[in-house]
Amino acid sequence: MTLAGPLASLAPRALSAAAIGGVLLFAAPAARADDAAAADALFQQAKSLTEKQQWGEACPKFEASYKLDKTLGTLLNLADCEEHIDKTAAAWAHWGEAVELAEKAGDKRADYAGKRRAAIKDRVPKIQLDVTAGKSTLAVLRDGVRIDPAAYGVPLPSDPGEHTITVRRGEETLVTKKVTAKERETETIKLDLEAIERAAPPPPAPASSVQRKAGWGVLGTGVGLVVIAGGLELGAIVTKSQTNAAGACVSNLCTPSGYSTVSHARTLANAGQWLGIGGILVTAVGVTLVATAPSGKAAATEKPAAITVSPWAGPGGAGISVGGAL
Amino acid sequence: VSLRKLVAAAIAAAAIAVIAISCTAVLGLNGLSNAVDVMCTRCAGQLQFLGSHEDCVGYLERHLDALTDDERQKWLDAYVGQCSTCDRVTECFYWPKICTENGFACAQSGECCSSQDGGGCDGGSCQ
Repeated sequence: MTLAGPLASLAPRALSAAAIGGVLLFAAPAARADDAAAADALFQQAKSLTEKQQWGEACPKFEASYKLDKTLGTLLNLADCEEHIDKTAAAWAHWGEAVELAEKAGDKRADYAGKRRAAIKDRVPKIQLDVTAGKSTLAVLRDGVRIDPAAYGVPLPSDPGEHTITVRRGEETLVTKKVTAKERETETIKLDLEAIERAAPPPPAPASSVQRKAGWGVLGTGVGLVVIAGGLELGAIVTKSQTNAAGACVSNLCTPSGYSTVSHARTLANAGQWLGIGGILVTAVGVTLVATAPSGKAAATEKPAAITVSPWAGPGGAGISVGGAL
Repeated sequence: VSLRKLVAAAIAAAAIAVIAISCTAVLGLNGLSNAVDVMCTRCAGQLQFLGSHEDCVGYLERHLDALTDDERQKWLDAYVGQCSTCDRVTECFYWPKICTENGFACAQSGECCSSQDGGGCDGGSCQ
């Protein structure tokens, strides 16, 4: 069925549709003035193309026009155009949208759109996705558009031609299937998402996760060392207080037993001191690792962080050195 | 290397230095000495009858351990107050229970309390 006629290219969108269909009377309310003007220009171009039977080029212009200014006339022309290029599913959907728009506005063209829709209904190809999802969280997409799980098992209207069904985990495509939709036919695709997930287990945690975990580990170790150091210092204070209470030291001199106690306190204090310093450094390294861990996608493309933690000891003390390439 | 990193490193180094210096100092654990060790080292000549440095320290430690806390503190007060110079160190050696009292085993006469009054170590015990 053809809507286009010699008068269409000369008339405004609503009028041209009315003239061609014989029932199209009113234009929808105008959008912003500049959008409406652009929509009108696109519409006129599209009409001109339809007169030359260049439907393939006209349809995108009708669509662009409709996006800018949602008039019923444009929508009717878009649906008609799509029918001409065998995009039957799109046409069917747009005829339906036109029915709604017209009914809402009390427009008589609702009947016309309804008849056109009914006429095309049986021709619309369908693709049915029989999906066994189980606990899988994989996404199923048709031509790049995610299919809601509620639509699994439902024959979905599709334009004739080849369609791509993909199964994705995030941005990773796990399965790709091609299906050719044909008029008056329903193509069924079976997908077992759990089996697909088992066949392609999730990749190991990204470097960001490894670095963050390592950072928290180092941070925890550092805090632990500081706490132990605090305990040792407390022990030194208690021990020293015992010598004070017993009067074991006078001026700078102590009795042998007092001096022994002081030596013990000094050992505790020194151990606590170096452990505390080490703990502070390790904590700082842990904080740095956590704070500088790359996040999300950036980390997925990075090499894992190479971190080396090694103890050292020397005449002047001991500690832990941390290094590596992040 | 940015100025910020240099400042951060300097602050970290200063913090570590402060911690390193202050820990034992704050607790008053620095500069303390064993009075017996000081006594035997500094006044080895006056206490040579006790034998070597180790013997001297061993003798005094044994005898100080035998004192009560109160007696030990009094001895230490006396040592710090009046015997820290070597010419008076013997005053703190011939101190009750520090020098060897009569009837107790001895190795040399000098260690016997009675040696101040002409006694000494005779037959392995102070007389």
